[in-house]
Amino acid sequence: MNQSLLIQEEAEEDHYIEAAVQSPAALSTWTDHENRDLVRKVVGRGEEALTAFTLLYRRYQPPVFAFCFRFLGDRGHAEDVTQEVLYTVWKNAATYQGHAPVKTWVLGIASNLCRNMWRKERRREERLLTLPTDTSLHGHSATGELVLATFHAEPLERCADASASCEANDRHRLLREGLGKLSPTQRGVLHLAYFEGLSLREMAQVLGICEGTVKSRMANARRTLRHHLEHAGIC
Amino acid sequence: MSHDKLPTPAQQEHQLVDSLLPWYVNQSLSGAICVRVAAHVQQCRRCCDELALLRTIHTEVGSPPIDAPVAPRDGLDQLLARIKAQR
Repeated sequence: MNQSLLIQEEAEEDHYIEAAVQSPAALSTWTDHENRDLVRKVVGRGEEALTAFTLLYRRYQPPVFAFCFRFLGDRGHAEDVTQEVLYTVWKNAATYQGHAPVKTWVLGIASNLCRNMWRKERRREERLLTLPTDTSLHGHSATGELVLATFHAEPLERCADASASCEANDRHRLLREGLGKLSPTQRGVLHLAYFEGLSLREMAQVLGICEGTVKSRMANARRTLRHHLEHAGIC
Repeated sequence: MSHDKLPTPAQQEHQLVDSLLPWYVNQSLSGAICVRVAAHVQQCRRCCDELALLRTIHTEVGSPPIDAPVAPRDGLDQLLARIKAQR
């Protein structure tokens, strides 16, 4: 390629990055090609690596956090995992092979780390349940009532508290309750399909499983929701 | 030895379409398979009902929960500090 043309293209790209840093809204228009360039710059670990990583962070932190929150159902855990996901993007940028869009790769990292966190919390919960006499390990509510540490979809269940506003739409409310009854992995597949709008193949890539398993998880989620609605006489 | 009947072609088609309905709803199916799913749904009451349910789920899950927290804003500074400390 002509050297002057190359220099001009690089200058235009730098200008674009500067503009995007100052206006995060501009990031929403970035294509996967541009995201791949950013990952390449992060891999380079040069002067521009931190700027490129900043852009990737701003681009992917909201969807990663949304996924983690939907999967884990706990704000604190979702924040912690989101930070780890993006740190992993920095640390392991060189492992991105470009077979899938950058977003698919990033959500795949999020899926793995969410699953690890969920397993860790489940083990912790099981350990607590086997220690019935040691109340020091349990928390206390504001009223001093003993509360066993749990790990559940609190934000979805919290909908019940807002029943006044939900009563107008039973189906809507029941559906939210039904979503709260799903396992984290089932909530995860629904989120990827309907919040991220991923295709079956992309979901398989993100979750690191075959397409048939994605379909099975989706079928289980649908069955659980339908059963919940039917039980309530809605469906 | 099992004497279970094999599914008929019509049943196979129904099973295939049913398994793909979630992606028909989010419009990520390719053109040919999308047309195939649409054709089946038009003549299958069960798939039509399932489609209605999936569209409701899509609407519900497609928007953040009312009480969903927004992503924290101070995470970037913390992460950059962590990265710089390790360089």
